Amino acid sequence: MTVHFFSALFCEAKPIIKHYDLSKLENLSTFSIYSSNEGDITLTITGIGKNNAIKAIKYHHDSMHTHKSDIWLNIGIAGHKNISVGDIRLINKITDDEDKKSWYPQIIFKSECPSIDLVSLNAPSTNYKACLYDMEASGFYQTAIQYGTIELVQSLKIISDNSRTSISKINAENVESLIKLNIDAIEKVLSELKILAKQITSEEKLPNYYELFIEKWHFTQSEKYRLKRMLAKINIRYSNENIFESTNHLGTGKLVLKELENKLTNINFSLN
Amino acid sequence: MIDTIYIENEIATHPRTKKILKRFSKATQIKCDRYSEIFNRKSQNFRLQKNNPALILAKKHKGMVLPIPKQFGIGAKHNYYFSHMLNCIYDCRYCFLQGMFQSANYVLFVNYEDFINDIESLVKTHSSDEVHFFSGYDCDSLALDPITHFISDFLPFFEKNENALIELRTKSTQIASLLKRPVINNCVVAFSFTPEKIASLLEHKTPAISKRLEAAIKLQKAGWNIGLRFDPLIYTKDFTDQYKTLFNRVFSEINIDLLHSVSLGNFRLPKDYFRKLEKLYPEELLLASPLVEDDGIISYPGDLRDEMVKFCENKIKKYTPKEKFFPCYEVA
Repeated sequence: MTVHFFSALFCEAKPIIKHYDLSKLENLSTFSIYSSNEGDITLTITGIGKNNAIKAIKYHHDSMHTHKSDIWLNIGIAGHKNISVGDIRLINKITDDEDKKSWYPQIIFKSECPSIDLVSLNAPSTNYKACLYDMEASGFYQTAIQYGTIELVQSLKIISDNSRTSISKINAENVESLIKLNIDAIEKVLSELKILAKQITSEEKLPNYYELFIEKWHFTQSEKYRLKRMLAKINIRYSNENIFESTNHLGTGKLVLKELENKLTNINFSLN
Repeated sequence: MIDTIYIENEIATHPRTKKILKRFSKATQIKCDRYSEIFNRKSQNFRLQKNNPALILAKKHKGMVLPIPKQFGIGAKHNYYFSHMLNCIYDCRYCFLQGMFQSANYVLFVNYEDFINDIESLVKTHSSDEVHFFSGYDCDSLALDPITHFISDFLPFFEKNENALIELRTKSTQIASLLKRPVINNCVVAFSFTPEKIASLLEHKTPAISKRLEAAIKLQKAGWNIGLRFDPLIYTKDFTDQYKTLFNRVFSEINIDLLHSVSLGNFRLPKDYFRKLEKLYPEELLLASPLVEDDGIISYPGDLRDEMVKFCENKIKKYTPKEKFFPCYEVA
């Protein structure tokens, strides 16, 4: 499981880069991508606006080879009518102001962080309302859910401006400090998401012996798919048996598949 | 219990919506245009959502009452099902809903009056025949009754229309609303049972078999028609012992003379649903059972299926008259 952070600006990303000790991947130049040494945490700076977010997420997915069990987090600043500057919110509904399409991030974990709806605009606005305003979340979300699992794709926004604190007061320095102040809150959300992500990690795991089978016998693509499915079940049903050893004498991949099928349709089966 | 409620704009002011929102005043409320924007979205993970499903309050626009699949009836010529709700609070590993729906969130269609109108016109269409309506296909009929008030809102219609019968299919013990109201003869409360050991392995978050039986007996004593549903039959090496124990227990405790119906069905799932379950629960032993695919349906191999059915049929027929027994499969 890898955690993928996305921020529009370097000043939004900087506290995260520092906190997780991420380094820039110099071989990737279209967008700036950072990674931990272990590769378990990555971050991309998307640039401002929906279209940049869409392109950056696609680029990130292609470059980092993401998985369904990965966590996708959009961290950034947003404006609101009266929520205090520095407060953090999870986003429960994202509406694109341009085409009026909406998405609904599924927040299925308990969180101290309140949730709110957000509208993604094409340009900054001071016409504050009872929802958050930003410029990237719709682009981030609609693209990230093509690659990730909806429940693991979330947007976290820190209030940077409201009707009392003007948008003109925002600068790189105070954005950085707003994000930095919320690192603990981000960590808490992340730890909840990690618990969820663990429940789906096993889907991507190759079953025991699979690689040995592939090495020894020839299987077509569809046979490989069948083999994977059947081995996963054999491993559950005959957990004490070395299935590679017991089929080792067979001459072809087809005979192997037949043998696995026979084992699985054997009615000597107990649920207890 | 419910942390998030999505509300379709169109039914935001519906009295049923208001009542539910009042009950869950602390839940986060999120407005939406159509429930399908949330419910049908791809890339959702049913298993993850089962950790904490949201409630979606919606309006059902069409296809409210539909004919049931073949072999699922309990004696009438005309049979329909309707789903005022999609999804279930229980988490049975063999359940087809996990394969059918993208989301584990609960959808409640609050426009009961439209369902009742459609049911009424079907009752009129078949005015000279008995018509059966099944309510527990896509949800458990009773499990969320304290929230949905399904019983108190739907049963008065059936009370006035005696040629219509409603089946409430359930594993729940939420029977208070039934016990509170006068009994009607054209309602069957049909409890699903599997042997205790199998239930404890596969029917997560459900009331124990003893509790279900207790609820069925209580209702039967109050005068309600009770149905017994042994569907799906689940195979395990000692299935004969397990089902024998279950049948002995159920038929010795329930009043057989007053029993409305008993039905029996095989474990079967459309292939696509089954594949989805394999992905959601790769560690699940049930899915590694001896199963075969036949015409797009995954079920036990024919011989095994026949053996299980024959064994259970013989046992059931010892207790139940022929006319009360309804197999949910092709009878040779």
